[in-house]
Amino acid sequence: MKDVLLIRNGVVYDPMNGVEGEVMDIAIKDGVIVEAIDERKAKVIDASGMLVMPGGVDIHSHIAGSKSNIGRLLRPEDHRRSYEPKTALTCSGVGHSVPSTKTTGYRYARMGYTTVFEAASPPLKQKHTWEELNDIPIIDKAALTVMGNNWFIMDFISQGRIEDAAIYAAWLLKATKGYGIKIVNPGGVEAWGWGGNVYDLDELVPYFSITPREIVEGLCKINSMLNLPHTIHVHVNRLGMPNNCWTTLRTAHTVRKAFGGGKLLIHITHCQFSGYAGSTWTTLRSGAEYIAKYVNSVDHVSLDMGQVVFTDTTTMTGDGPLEFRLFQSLAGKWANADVEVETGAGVVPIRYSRRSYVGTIQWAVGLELALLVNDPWKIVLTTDHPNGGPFTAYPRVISWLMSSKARSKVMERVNRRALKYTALPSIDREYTFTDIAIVTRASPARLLGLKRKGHLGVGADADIAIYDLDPRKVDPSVDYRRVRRALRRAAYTIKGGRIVIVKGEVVEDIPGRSIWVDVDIPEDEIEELLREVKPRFEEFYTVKLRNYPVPEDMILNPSPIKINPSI
Amino acid sequence: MSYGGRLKVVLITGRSIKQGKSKDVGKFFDEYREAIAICEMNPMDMEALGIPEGGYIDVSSPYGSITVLAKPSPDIPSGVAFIPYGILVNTIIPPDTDSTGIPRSKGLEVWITPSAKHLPDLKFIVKLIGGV
Amino acid sequence: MIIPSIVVEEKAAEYTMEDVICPFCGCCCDDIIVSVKDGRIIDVKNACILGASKFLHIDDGRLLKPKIGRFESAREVSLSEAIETVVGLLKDSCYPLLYGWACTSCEAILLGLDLAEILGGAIDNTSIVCHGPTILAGQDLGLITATLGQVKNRADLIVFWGCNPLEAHPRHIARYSVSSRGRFISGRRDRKVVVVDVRRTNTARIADLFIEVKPGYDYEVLSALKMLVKDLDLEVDEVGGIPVSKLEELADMMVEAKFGALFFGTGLTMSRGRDKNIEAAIELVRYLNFKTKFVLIPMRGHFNVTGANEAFTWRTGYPVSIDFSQGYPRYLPGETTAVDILRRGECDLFFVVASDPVSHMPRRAVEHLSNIPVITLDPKLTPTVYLSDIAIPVAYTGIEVDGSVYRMDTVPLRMRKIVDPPPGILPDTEILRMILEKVRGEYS
Repeated sequence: MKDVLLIRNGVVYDPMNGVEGEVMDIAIKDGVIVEAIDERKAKVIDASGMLVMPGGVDIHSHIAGSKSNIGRLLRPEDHRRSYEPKTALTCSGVGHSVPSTKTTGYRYARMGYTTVFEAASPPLKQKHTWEELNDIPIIDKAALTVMGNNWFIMDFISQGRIEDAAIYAAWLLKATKGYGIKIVNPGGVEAWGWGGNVYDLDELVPYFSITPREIVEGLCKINSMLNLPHTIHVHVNRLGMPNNCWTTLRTAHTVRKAFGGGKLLIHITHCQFSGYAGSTWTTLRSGAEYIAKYVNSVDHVSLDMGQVVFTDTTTMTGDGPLEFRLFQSLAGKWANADVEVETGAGVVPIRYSRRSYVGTIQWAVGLELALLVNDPWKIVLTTDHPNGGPFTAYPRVISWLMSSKARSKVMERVNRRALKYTALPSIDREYTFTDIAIVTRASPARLLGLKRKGHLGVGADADIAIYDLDPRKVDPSVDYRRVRRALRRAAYTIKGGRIVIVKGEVVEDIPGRSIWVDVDIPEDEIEELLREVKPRFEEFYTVKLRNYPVPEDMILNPSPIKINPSI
Repeated sequence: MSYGGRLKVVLITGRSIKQGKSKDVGKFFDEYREAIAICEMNPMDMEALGIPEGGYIDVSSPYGSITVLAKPSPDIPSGVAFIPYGILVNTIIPPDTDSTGIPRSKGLEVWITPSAKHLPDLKFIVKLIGGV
Repeated sequence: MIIPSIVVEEKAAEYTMEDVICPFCGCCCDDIIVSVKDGRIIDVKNACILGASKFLHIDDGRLLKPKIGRFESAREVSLSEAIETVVGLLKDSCYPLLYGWACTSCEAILLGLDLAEILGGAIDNTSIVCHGPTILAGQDLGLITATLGQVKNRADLIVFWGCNPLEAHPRHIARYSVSSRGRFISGRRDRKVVVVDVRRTNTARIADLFIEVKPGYDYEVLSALKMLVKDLDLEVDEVGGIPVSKLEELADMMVEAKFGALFFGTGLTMSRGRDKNIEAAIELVRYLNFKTKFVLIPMRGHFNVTGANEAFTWRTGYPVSIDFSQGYPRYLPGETTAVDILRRGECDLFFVVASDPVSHMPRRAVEHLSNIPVITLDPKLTPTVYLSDIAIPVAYTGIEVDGSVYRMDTVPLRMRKIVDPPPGILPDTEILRMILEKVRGEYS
């Protein structure tokens, strides 16, 4: 019987439930982890001597939608170096840094990841995001809806109409089937609509009576009012510029000043790209220590790494002006796609080189952030795929976190001068298996408010990764290559109680679930606001209000989470 | 350049309102045929060839020849001619794409000569393509 | 549902639908009002002459029953016989070419990709004879673009190069570009309009500046403009038949604009230079972005050719011309492109959905169709249908069946069904599913 599964004798890491390397059984029935099952009726997986963890949760990855597709279009050469042939069970595909949809799903599942969040989706194009997410097999998916340069949000906030802004934001999430509020270079992408940018939290956004600080604080307040399961997810101003760690800190601090500590208020995404000190590129320094010190002393901030990997990859972001600046330095390909009223996008291929001074600082900053922040529950492992590197590099990043020797090996071949301006050579800390289970599973699930993900307790979704690696026998500090190899290809990946990967190969291709947040605001309140907004909406947009939302029947396997707001 | 009753021009193909509108009525109806069997030419070029208003011309390239109605249009520069997209003009367009995937549907050098009235039979052309 | 349904008046067999999306050109205007009585469309408001023509003539020249047999030897057959025959031919083919896909939904296109992959054949869409060069340039350099609302709200300079929207995209002028109004622009008088073309088109009549370029010289002119934008001297008096003084005037307009938009069409893609012309345009826009804000937007011809590019890309990595014969997606312009495959006679079956290649490809390319079986899914009796060995009628996407489409600026839209298709006529998605199921059965 396929629906009843028993994972026997695995070495289990389930930090959310306090399990750290215990040999135990996990029982699954009807897609969910249960207390016990009738063993005679179960399919049994013998996981003796194997590492068992919840399925991986990727909190921030650019896998689907308009700019991902622009990335695919831009990189035929990237596709040629990596392709997956069609098999009896799977579709073919391509892509090293910007894989096609089917390949994306299979590769995540192969690594034991089972839930992935599309990092940034423009509401006007969210139907595109969902069409691509629908086409990605196996994994559960969600999308964060960008709001930080949205004309209506900015107007409402600047007019002091915070409640209406909250209703509008709730409607946007409903209309786009979004999971949370994403902010990308607040105010800066609107300025890019004129070819400009913003460089300071208190700079006025051209033609709008609002500053980036006010946008961040406003959306933070809205986030609380709506009781959203995740905090605001912020790509801060001045990303990718020297000395930007101070902007990052000021952004993190501004919401604390506005709303106090005691609970999570802000998630700083791909923090590495926002973690630089030193005033110019030639005098670039790591700013990770400053950020880590701050994060260690407060309780309202979480961050994901945005780790750089030395490879050829593709940068893609809603931060249009950033990509223009990258184009100016790299003088290669550059694609740009502004989205009216809302945001922008840019795509530029990049190669991170060991020999490069800047590349080395970047590489170090990501690791420093993860190693200097004491509490792994505040950290999530990401590469901001594909900006820092493809998600298939996660096992490599894990090996760097777990092994100082692995880091040293890399440091032998990087730019030595750059290393002096980072703290990395002096850091001995090594992540344990528990730490890894936290930063790749438990922490993102908790930060996202996904109650049934990232853990193996009774009631959790049966999304499980089993690796051919005995954590009791392997010392990851020494044998990091072995760890990397094992994590690249799961011995088993179980998704919703179905075995989908065996020895790194797809054995069943099933559709994952589509998760979004349905904020329960009375329909008449939304309708009243939309009635007011409609004339301006149709004056600014080139689509009618009626054609803007993502129809629910477009979503494959919908799995909305109903939320009760506080307004 | 007009050589003894022949004129070399650069052929531009493209959309026209009539061609776009009539294709949805149906491509075997007269309205569509009229819309695509037409060539806009510079009036001075027409005069040089002795083509009257309402006259017909043969438009030829190394790939074939078609007969269409000549329509004078002062907006067309001398040495240029415009024929709307369709099965007719595609008869004389080269299939080579120079590895771009797209044929060179604009800018082909063609010869224009006066001709007698002839209404192309689109079904007949399809049959020629289809090997009948 | 928060947003009410688009059916606004319903009484017995009469109703009116608002905010309908037009299924003609790449404008995908979504403010069309369609009135229906007794299952037939009787009136269309807001659409241009092209869109209205499509809505009002869906029953004219229509293929009503599946047929087997070319030209006059065609006989009506049942749907199941047609499908069986199609499946038999597909199974026997070695290298089928699946083509078209521009006038149908993304749902259908994805099924086509499934089919091409299973068959190990080639699949291509109509952008290959239209904006294929734009795609090539987009792959080599990257397009610098924006959604149309950026133009509506901000653009004070509009340049139409090698395109004639007044005849090919009529409502573009009022809805998106020349006389559109937005937050920062109050209409026509806040803008300058420039038309560059080889002839004085109808669009040129509404321009502030018309520049006539010699056919085949767009690349030189665009390069010259780039030099002028970079403040370099041109050591000639004219380029492409245009006096340098005029080019300087245009370059100044471009640099002094607050937000410039360059719309371009087949005048650039089909002329001498093809993709190099687009590269030159991109290079010009890149340099303009060092001085001001500038974007370029291709004028896509059909209502979902952009969607075909998007769906092809997300599924295979490439927007056109995919070959699955080696078991994974391969893309080689000139090798795997439809016109070239046909020209060289390399495919042994031609399967067409939502397109009329017999009309729109050079004759020498489609002459190969005299040698191979041709299968078409289309609502109308087109030359391709007339030539086909098997033709199956299908419903109109966006009129008789829902579907996902992408506007010329890649904004996704969802088209809704307005009326039922005639009895016995199914959506192409259904037909493709039936074929896929049988083909999968044959191969498993």
